Amino acid sequence: MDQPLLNTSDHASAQFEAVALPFMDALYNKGLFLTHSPQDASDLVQETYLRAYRTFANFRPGTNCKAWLFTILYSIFVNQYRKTQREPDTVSMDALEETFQQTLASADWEAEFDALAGSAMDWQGPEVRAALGKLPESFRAAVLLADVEGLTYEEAAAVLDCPVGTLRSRLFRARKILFLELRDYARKTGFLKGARLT
Amino acid sequence: MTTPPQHFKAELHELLDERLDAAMRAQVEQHLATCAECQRELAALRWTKQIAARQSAATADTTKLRQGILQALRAEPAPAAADIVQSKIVRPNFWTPRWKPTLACAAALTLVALLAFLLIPRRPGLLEVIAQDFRSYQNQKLALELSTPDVKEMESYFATHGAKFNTRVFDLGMMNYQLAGGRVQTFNEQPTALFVYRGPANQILHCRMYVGTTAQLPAAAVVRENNGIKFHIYESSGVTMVFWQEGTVVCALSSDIPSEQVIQLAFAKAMLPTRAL
Repeated sequence: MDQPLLNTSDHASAQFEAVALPFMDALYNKGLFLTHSPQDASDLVQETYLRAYRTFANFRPGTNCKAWLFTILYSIFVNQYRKTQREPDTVSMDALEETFQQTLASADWEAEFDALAGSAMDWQGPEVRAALGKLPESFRAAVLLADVEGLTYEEAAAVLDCPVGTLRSRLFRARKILFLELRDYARKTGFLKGARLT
Repeated sequence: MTTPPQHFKAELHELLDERLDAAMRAQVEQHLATCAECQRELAALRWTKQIAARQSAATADTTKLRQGILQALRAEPAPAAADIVQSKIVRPNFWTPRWKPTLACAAALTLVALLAFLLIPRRPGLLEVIAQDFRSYQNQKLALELSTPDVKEMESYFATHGAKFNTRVFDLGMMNYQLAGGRVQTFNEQPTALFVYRGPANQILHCRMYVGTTAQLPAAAVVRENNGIKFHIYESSGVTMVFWQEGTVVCALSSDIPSEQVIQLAFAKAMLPTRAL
């Protein structure tokens, strides 16, 4: 079987569909998180694909196509869909750290965390979306790109057009806020009732 | 007077994200072995990261959106290929008399190449062929040579009709997909085994097997790994195609059902070469 079975002369349109379209669900998911509107998310994704198609020559095969598409999507979102100017990140690092450490230092921590991590909840419903929705937009974007979509710090920073250090700082704070929000949700809805809570 | 312990903060996140070098990782892990505070923090962060990762699943049926995007793309002029990287370079002035013969030759060659491109029919690539075959079968323009729900009968048919490699016709009954039959399709003068399944809502799923290697597939596709097997995922004309290697044979599932369903079916049926052969 010497002759390669695959004809490598697939034209650019087929190449684009092959490498770019598998990310449509991920783009829609992120569009929904950013716009909070299914219609806006659909329009945002469609606009992203059109722009990517027109500039496909700029994409370097072998690099992360998903990160490239997210860069386009985020740029369109910032310029066309963001309803209001983003508010500056007002999360106090000191206050957040204090709350986070107090929670971990709680006498009930072991039982509470076991109940949280071992609960029957699949954590794929509106509660996580609501918790993500409470994050400042730049923090939410950092979590969506790094933890949800699995981009590297460098790729996520490039999408958000910010230094890697800024991305790290946002991501690390976002994780702590998200943890506190999810724990708070679990407490309020009784999912931690097996744990002895203060 | 004892020195308070030096806890790690950013390093815990970077440990989770596997970004620490070996020396720092060893240092953090050594500290973690005896520090309950950092152990708690790491556990909380790990759990949070895991929960976030679960949100990557599609939130809605995006079939209509996919169709709309494909329609919009088809209405656009074709883009330049991705491997042609355009860059700004300072060019010499070619419009001088000494360059004219060279330019004339180049123009003639370009014209010949253009005519050849227009007049010589282009042979479509494997991805296009698989997508085209899927649509042709869907539109009843591609018939099965053997209609059977029996996987063994299908395998025997392939063995006696030119596909003399190890075709492993899957039993997808557990996933509510029933074998409808198959045919031997020739591509690049080589036989490929094509067999078709029907789902509970009459969804169509194609499986293609041929002797080759996934290394021949175009680069930059999505690659996912499951149970030690790499799956190469593509889309063309609204058809999702998932390729993987089983010994000397490449297997490909293709369908227009949601991409993740095709991928999960491939995950369910793929076998490591040692088990497959």
